[in-house]
Amino acid sequence: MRSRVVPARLLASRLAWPAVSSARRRRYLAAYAFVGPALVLLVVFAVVPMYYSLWVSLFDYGIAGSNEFTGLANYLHALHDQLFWKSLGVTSIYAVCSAALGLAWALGLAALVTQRLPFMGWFRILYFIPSVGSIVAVATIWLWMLDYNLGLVNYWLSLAHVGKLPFLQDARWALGSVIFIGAWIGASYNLPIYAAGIESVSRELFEAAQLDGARAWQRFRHITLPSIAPITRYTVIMAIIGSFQVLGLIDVLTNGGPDNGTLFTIKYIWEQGWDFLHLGYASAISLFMLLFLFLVTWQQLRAGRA
Amino acid sequence: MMDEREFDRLAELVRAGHLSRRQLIDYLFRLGGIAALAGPGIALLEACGNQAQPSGGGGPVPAGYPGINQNITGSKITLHILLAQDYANEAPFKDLYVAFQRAYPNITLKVDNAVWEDIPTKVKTAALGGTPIDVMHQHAFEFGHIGLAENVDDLWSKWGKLGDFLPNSLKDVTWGGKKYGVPLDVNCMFTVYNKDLLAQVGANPPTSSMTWPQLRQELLKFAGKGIFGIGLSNSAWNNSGYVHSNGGDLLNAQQNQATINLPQNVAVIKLLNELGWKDKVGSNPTPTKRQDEPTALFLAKQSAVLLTGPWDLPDIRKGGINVGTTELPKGMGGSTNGSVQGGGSLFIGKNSKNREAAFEFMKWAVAVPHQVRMIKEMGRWSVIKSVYSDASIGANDPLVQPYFNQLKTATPYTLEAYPEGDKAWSDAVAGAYNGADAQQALDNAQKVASAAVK
Repeated sequence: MRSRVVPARLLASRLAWPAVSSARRRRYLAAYAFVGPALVLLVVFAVVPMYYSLWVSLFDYGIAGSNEFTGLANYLHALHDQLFWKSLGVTSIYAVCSAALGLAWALGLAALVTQRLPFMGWFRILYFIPSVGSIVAVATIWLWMLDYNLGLVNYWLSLAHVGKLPFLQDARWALGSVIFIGAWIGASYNLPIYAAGIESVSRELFEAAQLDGARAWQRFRHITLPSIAPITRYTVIMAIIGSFQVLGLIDVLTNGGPDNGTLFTIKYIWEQGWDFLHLGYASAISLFMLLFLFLVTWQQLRAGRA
Repeated sequence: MMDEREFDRLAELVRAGHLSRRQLIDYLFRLGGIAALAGPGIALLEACGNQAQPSGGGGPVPAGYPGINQNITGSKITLHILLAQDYANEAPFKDLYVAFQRAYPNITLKVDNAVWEDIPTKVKTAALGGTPIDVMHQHAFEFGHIGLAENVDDLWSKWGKLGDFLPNSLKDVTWGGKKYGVPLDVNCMFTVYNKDLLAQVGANPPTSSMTWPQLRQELLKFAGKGIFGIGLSNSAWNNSGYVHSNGGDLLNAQQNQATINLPQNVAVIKLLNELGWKDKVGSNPTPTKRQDEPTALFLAKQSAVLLTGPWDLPDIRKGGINVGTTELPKGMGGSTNGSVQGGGSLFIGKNSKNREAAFEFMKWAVAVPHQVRMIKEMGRWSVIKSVYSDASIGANDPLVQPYFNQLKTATPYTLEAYPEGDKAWSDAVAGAYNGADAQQALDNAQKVASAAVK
């Protein structure tokens, strides 16, 4: 059988850099110089750890040198770990509820602040503060406000003869409280994004609709919402991904309790890895979560395109 | 010749560490040759002898601190130290760093701090990264058990000061019969009460012979009064103390088997959680990060009884409360006595390259003058027996006496060495305080902890 021989000159020409002018080459180099540092950081702090996690997940990885190769045992264990699945369920409930509530909240506020009303600029700045503040500080303020015995909210409820509510003591109330606070923080973050989106919609469309007799709600429903659909798609995806990364809030407010009622997957991963030193297992469930998030994001993008 | 004033000036310079003994000898020699050395020079060197030792690489050592260890005076060493935030930045510790570095000019201290709860993660991260921290602050037994602390039995033998320590304090550094660190301070839970609030409802104050059921009877007098009889906490550590008070424990004597659902444990946890959700005379315990709430309620005169440690006494005194103290209740029947022992210890990260220098720093941290300052300025009680004979520390204060009595029977919360068991216990206690059946909650925790301890 005759082998296919590629002439050396042809091969060299294929492998050679395309002929570019020196000016263009300088532009390329400048572009790589700008992108390079970020790329290096991304590889070092995201890509390499991801592959390292994959490697670690195949071991009974311990700090004190007990690193036995266990193959897929950690993954099989995760399949039967009820607490892991419970944490995934709790996180999913939080993700859906806090994203829906937070985005609706942000959209409503954005529609308000884009009106030409007094002090709206100040309102925008003030409302953004929770997003730029420390999450621990924000969570601590809520922890005090929702305290059963000494909290402000229960004090107000007592004044209104409603009686004290176990905001952080009862599992269902605790999840509800965390969803509410998560939505509040999310609304603060997404408000400027939605406001910018609404302001970028052509005024002519609104004026034309107004001339045709469309009411405010109809203009919002048929012009604003479709115009900012790409933004909504982005904010939904980011909100869902963000929901799976909520740790500080839970750590301060409930520590995953009561009765694991607010045990988010990321908290469970932390617990397994750093509290119990099951680093191999923690890596395995991290990768499960990555796969889960990938599927959710893919579905969202597909739904968005449809 | 040297006059008296010059003599005093030189002595002061040496004591303050501004002039080394070698520099002093050079100065005296320049001043009057051998004659000056032989006369007042010898007297001067003797006068400074208690403060500055022959250097050999070491500097001046303040009175009451360990002498220079010549094994660590040679090469340059950077000692990485990680202390709890509320220790590291306090004046006694800042002065300790300065004094230690003056004594060992070749050693540079790199001191970091973190909140107490974050230290375990930092210890583990450093170990995982292959850069163990030289001196760390936590419970040494816990890290000895998981293999992240150096066994220091040999250094203890060389030091020979084991007998100077309160015997109970050594439990914080001991696991499986081996020592993994040096105890730094010690405390335990006892009972504090507001005499005026108890009198208002006609309740008798707690006494050292009172049992839990008797205390409950008194607390029931607060029902419907708008003030809590007792501030409850669902902290795993606090509740292990209540269990000890009833003769129970969470691990067996060999510390290799969980005993969470012992009948005496269930009984006391059941009684305490009923004080809250059933009797309505105990405050509803709050989530983990609000463990200071019982103290806040007590300081606000919203609760009459507080189960706490000596660290709260300064604030309580400042609050102008007519306060009394006693030991924890004597179990359910009056025949048992116990509490939980707290405090902390210093230990050396596994595979630290500066083992001996790290141990030397730990010895300085338990030197009597430093321990006295820790009591006076930080409210942290000493692990050294002889410190308690110092009248200035206020050990004779009647409010503190019950604490000393209680300390004799207090034992550490050793389940903490098994993180999964610790979490199981913590969850069970929190569940019980929220109204779950105590027996069932502790049975469930026992299953999880048994597997973890195995």
